[in-house]
Amino acid sequence: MPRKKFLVMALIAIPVLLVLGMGSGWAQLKVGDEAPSFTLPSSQGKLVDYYKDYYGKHHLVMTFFPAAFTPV
Amino acid sequence: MEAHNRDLYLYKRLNARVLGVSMDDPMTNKFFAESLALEFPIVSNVLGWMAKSYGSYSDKPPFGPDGSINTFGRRTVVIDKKGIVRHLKNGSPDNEEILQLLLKLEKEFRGLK
Amino acid sequence: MKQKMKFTGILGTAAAVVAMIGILAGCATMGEKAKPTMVPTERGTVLFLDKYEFKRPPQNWALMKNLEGGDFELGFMLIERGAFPSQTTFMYDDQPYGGSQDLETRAKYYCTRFLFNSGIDLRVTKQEKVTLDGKDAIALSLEGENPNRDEKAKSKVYLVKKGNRIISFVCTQWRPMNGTYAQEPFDYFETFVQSFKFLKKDFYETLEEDLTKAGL
Repeated sequence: MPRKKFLVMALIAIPVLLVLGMGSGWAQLKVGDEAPSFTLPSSQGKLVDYYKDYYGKHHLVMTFFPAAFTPV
Repeated sequence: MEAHNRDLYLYKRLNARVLGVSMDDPMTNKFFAESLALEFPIVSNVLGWMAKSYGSYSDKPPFGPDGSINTFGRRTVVIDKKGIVRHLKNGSPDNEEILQLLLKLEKEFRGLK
Repeated sequence: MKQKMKFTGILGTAAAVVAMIGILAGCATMGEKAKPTMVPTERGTVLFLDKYEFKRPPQNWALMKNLEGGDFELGFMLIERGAFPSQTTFMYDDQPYGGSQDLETRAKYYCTRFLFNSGIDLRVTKQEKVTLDGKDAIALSLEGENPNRDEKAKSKVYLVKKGNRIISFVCTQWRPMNGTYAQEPFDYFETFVQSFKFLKKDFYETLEEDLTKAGL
């Protein structure tokens, strides 16, 4: 197809695909992806910040468990 | 959780740290950590957004139709020290698998065979 | 390790069924065939999956193997004559409650968690330092009652220091409140524990060697 038309279509399609991709991408974190950063309050009385506390320093094992005092 | 606590001396040698993520508030998490004598922190993700971005809501949305918060599922994630996700697993963690992966990662980072 | 998970999964489920059949067979016929997972030796012991060697209890005890995500490596169960609950179970548990590598600290924590959701009001009746197969250990005797459920229990626990970790042997006998505890099942437990040998390095010992080799 003519080059101009292709460029216009690409300019529309790319953001649409990105939005769609991001929407489903969040629920489909894959091995090899960059880990989303976070800053959250902890049980040890201070904020835990991924980039300050772990990035470049330690590997991190994160264990998501929905509720405290349930069998773990 | 206790299994992670038991393995802390190995995680230390492997340059790894452990972090728990739950939906409870920091005080509840503090009491929970004390009851199990856990020596790693637990962060509070009350609204579940972090769990969403880490895929712990793979089978349901974080909020119900009436706006109530759904609990997220158990998940283990291993991130290497360059911030790349290296392991994702739903359900209870396989501690032996995690340790072997960490050994592989640390060897990789140190250029060892 | 993935292979090991599959192995346990398939065998675990099969073993659960086998264990259930074993319990029923034990009650009905007072006898059961040896399971392929236990190979008898001429020393009067059995080899278990080439991992352990020990003197097993008599044939009327059913073998319990680690179920998928289960809490112990292997164990034996005896359904005894008498009103419910009348049974004794003992097991080798390589991951007892707690995380400390110090025996005393671990024992203290262990006692707060042992049988914690059974409603039994547990007391430590005896605690002493012992040696098992050359390893430092703590032997605990515990007893407790739950009158609301007409149940009581008596337990013997060994927490053993194996390298950098602590493993355990646990025996628990249940009775109704007016039942009488029997010594004989505990004697079989003692024989099991005293004769127990590890035939090869476990996962953690091997891993620690790998770490040292890698300079970590």
